Amino acid sequence: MTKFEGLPREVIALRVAKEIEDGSYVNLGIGIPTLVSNWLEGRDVILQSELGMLKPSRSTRT
Amino acid sequence: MDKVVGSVEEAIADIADGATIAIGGFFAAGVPRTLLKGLIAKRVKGLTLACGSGPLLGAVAEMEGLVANGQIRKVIDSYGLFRSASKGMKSPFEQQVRAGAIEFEVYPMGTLAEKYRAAGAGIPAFYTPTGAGTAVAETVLTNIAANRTPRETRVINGQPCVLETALKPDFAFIHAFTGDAEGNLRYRKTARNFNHVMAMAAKVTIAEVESLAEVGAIDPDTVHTPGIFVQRVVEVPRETFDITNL
Repeated sequence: MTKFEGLPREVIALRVAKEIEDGSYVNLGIGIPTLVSNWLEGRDVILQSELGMLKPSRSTRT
Repeated sequence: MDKVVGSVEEAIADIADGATIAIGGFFAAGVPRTLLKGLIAKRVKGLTLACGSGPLLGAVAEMEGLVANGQIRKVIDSYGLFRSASKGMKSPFEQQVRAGAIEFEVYPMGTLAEKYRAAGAGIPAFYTPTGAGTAVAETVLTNIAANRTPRETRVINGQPCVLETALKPDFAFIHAFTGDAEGNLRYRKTARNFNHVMAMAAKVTIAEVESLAEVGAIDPDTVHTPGIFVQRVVEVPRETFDITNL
Protein backbone atom coordinates (compact mmCIF):
# COMPACT_ATOMS: atom_id res chain seq x y z
CA MET A 1 0.00 0.00 0.00
CA THR A 2 1.68 3.21 -1.16
CA LYS A 3 1.25 6.40 0.80
CA PHE A 4 -1.51 8.70 -0.57
CA GLU A 5 0.20 11.81 -1.89
CA GLY A 6 -2.83 13.87 -2.80
CA LEU A 7 -4.78 14.40 -6.02
CA PRO A 8 -2.96 15.40 -9.21
CA ARG A 9 -2.94 19.17 -9.68
CA GLU A 10 -4.98 19.03 -12.90
CA VAL A 11 -7.71 17.00 -11.14
CA ILE A 12 -7.94 19.62 -8.39
CA ALA A 13 -8.14 22.32 -11.05
CA LEU A 14 -10.88 20.41 -12.90
CA ARG A 15 -12.90 20.07 -9.69
CA VAL A 16 -12.56 23.80 -8.96
CA ALA A 17 -13.58 24.65 -12.54
CA LYS A 18 -16.85 22.79 -11.95
CA GLU A 19 -17.65 25.23 -9.10
CA ILE A 20 -17.56 28.22 -11.45
CA GLU A 21 -20.87 29.37 -12.87
CA ASP A 22 -21.26 30.91 -16.31
CA GLY A 23 -21.23 34.70 -16.21
CA SER A 24 -18.62 34.79 -13.44
CA TYR A 25 -15.56 36.97 -13.16
CA VAL A 26 -12.78 34.84 -11.63
CA ASN A 27 -9.52 36.08 -10.15
CA LEU A 28 -6.88 33.37 -10.56
CA GLY A 29 -3.97 33.31 -8.16
CA ILE A 30 -0.62 31.90 -9.23
CA GLY A 31 -0.16 28.12 -8.94
CA ILE A 32 -2.93 25.53 -9.02
CA PRO A 33 -5.57 28.30 -9.38
CA THR A 34 -3.96 29.25 -12.71
CA LEU A 35 -4.48 25.68 -13.93
CA VAL A 36 -8.24 26.13 -13.50
CA SER A 37 -8.21 28.18 -16.72
CA ASN A 38 -7.28 24.98 -18.64
CA TRP A 39 -10.75 23.63 -17.86
CA LEU A 40 -12.73 26.74 -18.79
CA GLU A 41 -12.35 26.49 -22.58
CA GLY A 42 -15.54 27.65 -24.26
CA ARG A 43 -17.17 28.70 -20.99
CA ASP A 44 -18.80 32.12 -20.52
CA VAL A 45 -16.36 33.19 -17.82
CA ILE A 46 -14.06 36.23 -17.68
CA LEU A 47 -10.74 35.61 -15.98
CA GLN A 48 -8.70 38.14 -14.07
CA SER A 49 -4.96 37.71 -13.60
CA GLU A 50 -3.56 37.92 -10.10
CA LEU A 51 -2.33 41.47 -10.72
CA GLY A 52 -5.77 42.58 -11.87
CA MET A 53 -5.92 42.46 -15.67
CA LEU A 54 -9.26 41.25 -17.00
CA LYS A 55 -9.28 38.73 -19.87
CA PRO A 56 -5.61 37.70 -19.82
CA SER A 57 -4.86 35.84 -23.06
CA ARG A 58 -3.85 32.22 -23.46
CA SER A 59 -0.15 33.14 -23.68
CA THR A 60 -0.20 34.39 -20.08
CA ARG A 61 -1.35 31.04 -18.73
CA THR A 62 1.21 28.79 -17.11
CA MET B 1 -20.63 37.38 -22.01
CA ASP B 2 -23.39 39.43 -23.60
CA LYS B 3 -24.89 42.11 -21.35
CA VAL B 4 -26.77 43.91 -24.11
CA VAL B 5 -30.52 44.09 -23.63
CA GLY B 6 -32.82 45.03 -26.48
CA SER B 7 -34.86 47.77 -24.83
CA VAL B 8 -35.01 50.17 -21.90
CA GLU B 9 -38.10 48.32 -20.61
CA GLU B 10 -36.09 45.10 -20.42
CA ALA B 11 -33.11 46.87 -18.83
CA ILE B 12 -35.21 48.17 -15.92
CA ALA B 13 -37.72 45.29 -15.71
CA ASP B 14 -36.78 44.25 -12.14
CA ILE B 15 -36.91 47.71 -10.55
CA ALA B 16 -39.63 47.63 -7.90
CA ASP B 17 -41.30 50.19 -5.64
CA GLY B 18 -38.97 51.53 -2.96
CA ALA B 19 -35.73 50.97 -4.90
CA THR B 20 -32.69 53.19 -4.43
CA ILE B 21 -31.32 54.24 -7.81
CA ALA B 22 -28.12 56.19 -8.44
CA ILE B 23 -28.54 58.64 -11.31
CA GLY B 24 -25.33 59.65 -13.09
CA GLY B 25 -24.73 63.09 -14.51
CA PHE B 26 -23.75 66.61 -13.57
CA PHE B 27 -26.52 68.99 -14.60
CA ALA B 28 -27.01 68.24 -18.31
CA ALA B 29 -23.77 66.26 -18.85
CA GLY B 30 -23.85 62.47 -18.75
CA VAL B 31 -27.44 62.15 -17.51
CA PRO B 32 -29.14 58.82 -18.36
CA ARG B 33 -32.21 60.55 -19.82
CA THR B 34 -33.52 57.56 -21.73
CA LEU B 35 -33.43 55.31 -18.66
CA LEU B 36 -35.18 58.05 -16.65
CA LYS B 37 -37.91 58.19 -19.31
CA GLY B 38 -38.28 54.42 -18.93
CA LEU B 39 -38.65 54.89 -15.17
CA ILE B 40 -41.43 57.41 -15.72
CA ALA B 41 -43.27 55.02 -18.07
CA LYS B 42 -42.85 52.20 -15.53
CA ARG B 43 -44.47 54.28 -12.76
CA VAL B 44 -42.65 52.52 -9.90
CA LYS B 45 -43.07 54.50 -6.70
CA GLY B 46 -41.33 55.30 -3.41
CA LEU B 47 -37.98 55.73 -5.17
CA THR B 48 -34.84 57.09 -3.59
CA LEU B 49 -32.81 58.83 -6.30
CA ALA B 50 -29.14 59.05 -5.33
CA CYS B 51 -27.58 61.77 -7.46
CA GLY B 52 -24.20 63.45 -7.71
CA SER B 53 -24.75 67.02 -8.74
CA GLY B 54 -28.11 68.06 -10.08
CA PRO B 55 -28.82 65.59 -12.91
CA LEU B 56 -32.51 66.26 -12.29
CA LEU B 57 -31.92 69.99 -12.83
CA GLY B 58 -30.27 69.20 -16.17
CA ALA B 59 -33.05 66.82 -17.20
CA VAL B 60 -36.02 69.03 -16.38
CA ALA B 61 -38.64 67.12 -18.36
CA GLU B 62 -37.62 63.81 -16.77
CA MET B 63 -37.66 65.31 -13.27
CA GLU B 64 -41.09 66.85 -13.82
CA GLY B 65 -42.41 63.53 -15.14
CA LEU B 66 -41.19 61.68 -12.04
CA VAL B 67 -42.65 64.34 -9.74
CA ALA B 68 -45.99 64.44 -11.61
CA ASN B 69 -46.31 60.67 -11.18
CA GLY B 70 -45.45 60.95 -7.47
CA GLN B 71 -42.62 58.42 -7.89
CA ILE B 72 -39.95 60.06 -5.74
CA ARG B 73 -39.74 59.49 -1.97
CA LYS B 74 -36.28 60.90 -1.45
CA VAL B 75 -33.44 62.59 -3.34
CA ILE B 76 -29.81 62.57 -2.25
CA ASP B 77 -27.69 65.19 -4.02
CA SER B 78 -25.01 67.84 -3.57
CA TYR B 79 -26.83 70.52 -5.56
CA GLY B 80 -30.40 69.59 -6.27
CA LEU B 81 -32.30 72.87 -6.12
CA PHE B 82 -32.28 75.74 -8.61
CA ARG B 83 -29.79 78.52 -7.83
CA SER B 84 -32.50 81.03 -8.67
CA ALA B 85 -35.06 81.10 -5.84
CA SER B 86 -37.78 82.55 -8.08
CA LYS B 87 -37.25 79.77 -10.62
CA GLY B 88 -37.09 77.22 -7.82
CA MET B 89 -40.46 78.29 -6.46
CA LYS B 90 -41.94 77.38 -9.85
CA SER B 91 -40.30 73.96 -9.94
CA PRO B 92 -42.70 71.14 -8.96
CA PHE B 93 -39.80 69.23 -7.43
CA GLU B 94 -38.66 72.13 -5.28
CA GLN B 95 -42.23 72.84 -4.18
CA GLN B 96 -42.54 69.26 -2.92
CA VAL B 97 -39.18 69.46 -1.16
CA ARG B 98 -40.20 72.71 0.53
CA ALA B 99 -43.52 71.11 1.57
CA GLY B 100 -41.69 68.06 2.97
CA ALA B 101 -43.47 65.69 0.55
CA ILE B 102 -40.12 64.63 -0.91
CA GLU B 103 -37.17 64.13 1.42
CA PHE B 104 -34.07 65.96 0.24
CA GLU B 105 -30.67 65.05 1.70
CA VAL B 106 -27.58 67.01 0.75
CA TYR B 107 -23.83 66.34 1.06
CA PRO B 108 -20.66 68.14 0.00
CA MET B 109 -19.95 67.05 -3.58
CA GLY B 110 -16.60 65.34 -3.00
CA THR B 111 -17.96 63.60 0.09
CA LEU B 112 -20.86 62.31 -1.98
CA ALA B 113 -18.51 61.03 -4.70
CA GLU B 114 -16.47 59.23 -2.03
CA LYS B 115 -19.65 57.70 -0.55
CA TYR B 116 -20.17 55.93 -3.89
CA ARG B 117 -16.50 55.08 -4.40
CA ALA B 118 -16.27 53.65 -0.87
CA ALA B 119 -19.32 51.46 -1.51
CA GLY B 120 -17.70 50.20 -4.70
CA ALA B 121 -14.46 49.46 -2.87
CA GLY B 122 -16.23 47.63 -0.03
CA ILE B 123 -15.45 50.30 2.59
CA PRO B 124 -18.42 50.88 4.94
CA ALA B 125 -17.41 54.35 6.21
CA PHE B 126 -14.62 56.92 6.03
CA TYR B 127 -13.46 60.11 7.74
CA THR B 128 -13.28 63.37 5.79
CA PRO B 129 -12.21 66.86 6.92
CA THR B 130 -14.77 68.43 4.54
CA GLY B 131 -17.49 70.13 6.54
CA ALA B 132 -15.79 69.74 9.93
CA GLY B 133 -16.67 72.68 12.16
CA THR B 134 -19.81 73.47 10.12
CA ALA B 135 -23.43 72.32 10.10
CA VAL B 136 -22.30 69.34 7.99
CA ALA B 137 -20.51 67.92 11.03
CA GLU B 138 -23.52 68.28 13.34
CA THR B 139 -26.29 66.28 11.66
CA VAL B 140 -27.21 64.81 8.30
CA LEU B 141 -28.49 67.76 6.23
CA THR B 142 -32.10 67.09 5.28
CA ASN B 143 -35.40 68.94 5.03
CA ILE B 144 -37.03 66.33 7.29
CA ALA B 145 -36.18 67.37 10.85
CA ALA B 146 -36.76 63.87 12.27
CA ASN B 147 -34.04 62.46 10.03
CA ARG B 148 -31.31 64.85 11.18
CA THR B 149 -29.29 62.16 12.92
CA PRO B 150 -26.18 63.37 14.78
CA ARG B 151 -22.80 62.68 13.20
CA GLU B 152 -19.65 61.19 14.65
CA THR B 153 -16.52 63.30 14.50
CA ARG B 154 -12.92 62.58 15.35
CA VAL B 155 -9.62 64.46 15.28
CA ILE B 156 -7.12 62.72 12.99
CA ASN B 157 -3.53 64.03 12.82
CA GLY B 158 -4.74 67.22 14.50
CA GLN B 159 -7.47 67.76 11.90
CA PRO B 160 -11.15 67.53 12.86
CA CYS B 161 -12.99 65.04 10.62
CA VAL B 162 -16.54 63.83 10.02
CA LEU B 163 -17.49 60.17 9.77
CA GLU B 164 -19.35 59.47 6.55
CA THR B 165 -20.91 56.16 5.49
CA ALA B 166 -20.76 54.47 2.09
CA LEU B 167 -23.81 54.72 -0.17
CA LYS B 168 -24.67 51.48 -1.97
CA PRO B 169 -27.65 51.86 -4.30
CA ASP B 170 -29.75 48.94 -5.57
CA PHE B 171 -29.34 50.16 -9.15
CA ALA B 172 -27.27 52.73 -11.02
CA PHE B 173 -28.37 54.47 -14.21
CA ILE B 174 -25.26 55.32 -16.21
CA HIS B 175 -24.88 57.30 -19.43
CA ALA B 176 -21.78 56.45 -21.48
CA PHE B 177 -20.63 57.47 -24.95
CA THR B 178 -19.36 54.04 -26.04
CA GLY B 179 -19.89 50.59 -24.58
CA ASP B 180 -19.47 46.97 -25.60
CA ALA B 181 -21.36 43.76 -24.89
CA GLU B 182 -19.13 42.99 -21.90
CA GLY B 183 -20.10 46.30 -20.29
CA ASN B 184 -16.80 48.12 -20.80
CA LEU B 185 -17.60 51.83 -20.95
CA ARG B 186 -16.06 55.06 -22.20
CA TYR B 187 -17.52 58.46 -21.32
CA ARG B 188 -17.20 61.64 -23.32
CA LYS B 189 -15.35 64.51 -21.65
CA THR B 190 -17.07 65.81 -18.48
CA ALA B 191 -19.97 63.38 -18.93
CA ARG B 192 -17.81 60.95 -16.94
CA ASN B 193 -18.45 62.89 -13.69
CA PHE B 194 -20.29 60.66 -11.16
CA ASN B 195 -21.05 57.87 -13.62
CA HIS B 196 -17.94 55.80 -12.91
CA VAL B 197 -18.17 55.77 -9.11
CA MET B 198 -21.90 55.03 -9.28
CA ALA B 199 -21.22 52.11 -11.63
CA MET B 200 -18.77 50.81 -9.03
CA ALA B 201 -21.18 51.29 -6.14
CA ALA B 202 -24.50 49.82 -7.29
CA LYS B 203 -25.63 46.24 -6.89
CA VAL B 204 -27.01 46.34 -10.46
CA THR B 205 -25.51 48.83 -12.91
CA ILE B 206 -27.50 49.63 -16.07
CA ALA B 207 -25.63 51.60 -18.73
CA GLU B 208 -27.24 53.42 -21.63
CA VAL B 209 -24.67 53.96 -24.40
CA GLU B 210 -24.77 56.16 -27.48
CA SER B 211 -22.89 53.59 -29.55
CA LEU B 212 -22.16 49.90 -29.16
CA ALA B 213 -18.65 48.79 -30.08
CA GLU B 214 -17.48 45.27 -30.91
CA VAL B 215 -15.90 43.49 -27.96
CA GLY B 216 -12.16 44.14 -28.27
CA ALA B 217 -12.58 47.33 -30.28
CA ILE B 218 -12.10 49.55 -27.20
CA ASP B 219 -8.39 49.70 -26.36
CA PRO B 220 -8.18 48.16 -22.85
CA ASP B 221 -5.97 51.02 -21.64
CA THR B 222 -8.67 53.53 -22.53
CA VAL B 223 -11.61 51.83 -20.78
CA HIS B 224 -13.07 54.15 -18.14
CA THR B 225 -15.39 51.69 -16.40
CA PRO B 226 -14.45 48.00 -16.75
CA GLY B 227 -17.30 45.64 -17.59
CA ILE B 228 -16.98 43.87 -14.24
CA PHE B 229 -18.96 46.80 -12.74
CA VAL B 230 -21.74 46.73 -15.34
CA GLN B 231 -24.63 44.25 -15.48
CA ARG B 232 -26.70 45.56 -18.42
CA VAL B 233 -26.04 47.65 -21.52
CA VAL B 234 -28.70 49.24 -23.70
CA GLU B 235 -28.05 51.29 -26.83
CA VAL B 236 -29.96 54.57 -26.95
CA PRO B 237 -30.25 57.33 -29.54
CA ARG B 238 -28.07 60.39 -29.07
CA GLU B 239 -30.28 63.12 -27.66
CA THR B 240 -29.97 66.84 -28.06
CA PHE B 241 -31.29 69.09 -25.32
CA ASP B 242 -31.47 72.74 -24.46
CA ILE B 243 -29.06 73.89 -21.74
CA THR B 244 -29.56 77.62 -22.18
CA ASN B 245 -32.09 78.00 -19.39
CA LEU B 246 -30.63 75.96 -16.54
